[in-house]
Amino acid sequence: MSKGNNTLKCTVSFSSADLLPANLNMSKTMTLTVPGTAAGNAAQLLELTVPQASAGSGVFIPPNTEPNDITGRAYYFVQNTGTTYNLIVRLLDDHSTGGTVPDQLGDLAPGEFALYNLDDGVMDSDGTRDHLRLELSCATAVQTTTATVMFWEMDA
Amino acid sequence: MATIKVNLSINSSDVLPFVVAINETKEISTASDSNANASSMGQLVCSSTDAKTINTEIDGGVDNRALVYIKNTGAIAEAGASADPNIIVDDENVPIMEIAPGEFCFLPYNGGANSTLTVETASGTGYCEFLVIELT
Repeated sequence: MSKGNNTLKCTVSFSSADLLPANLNMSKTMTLTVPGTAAGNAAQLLELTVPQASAGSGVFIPPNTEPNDITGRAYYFVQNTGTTYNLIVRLLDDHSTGGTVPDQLGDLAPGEFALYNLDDGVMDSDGTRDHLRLELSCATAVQTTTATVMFWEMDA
Repeated sequence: MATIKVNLSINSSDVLPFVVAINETKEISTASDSNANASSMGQLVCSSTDAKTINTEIDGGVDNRALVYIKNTGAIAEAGASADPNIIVDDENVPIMEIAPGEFCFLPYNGGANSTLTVETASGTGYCEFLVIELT
């Protein structure tokens, strides 16, 4: 039996007086419906300590594909809550048949945050849908940073 | 050098067992050199056979880091009418994100020197708006 849909509201705003010849003031809001089915059964809020690691050996989110596996689209909010070192964000996808390849989405300076809309389906070149996972690592060798992560699964 | 103030809020009373109320603000400065010499914003129409680069005007690509916002401005499904397709975002031709109509993403992007982000669809015509701000 379905647990019923859930709702989540996101707003992003940008403002700058000196970036463009005119003032930049922009605010966008979206209201997301998280389905009350198996397509929306994974959502977590996490506080993490993230060590430096090579691609494929970092901190995975979700840590395991079960029971919180993501098999459709998912939103990820990621913030580098550390004060010194950048946070590298990679996604695990499957560009080569039989191989899982981490692809770097970017790096977040201390205090910076991002809202990613990821999908396991489009990351696949071999025709199968994989379990989506995000990978975090500290950008500086032998150091650690901290992060806040929230993800929620969405319909395709 | 320019300064951009970014705010992101996420609110929900039912997606987790407790009320979610995230509200984060960050002021980000661009560098004072040619690595941060361009910003662009606009609207695009794309398709599965017509991928568009959203940072074409920035020295052929983002030099290192950039703030990126992309919104799928296509129609949402309504009674009697189907939705416009999802927007697929590619990093150097590798799909990294998929945005449904009415939804958006925001990220500090770092694909290395002269990297490009493109948008396309799996099928049909897609519509999006974007903002790219080179940082460093």
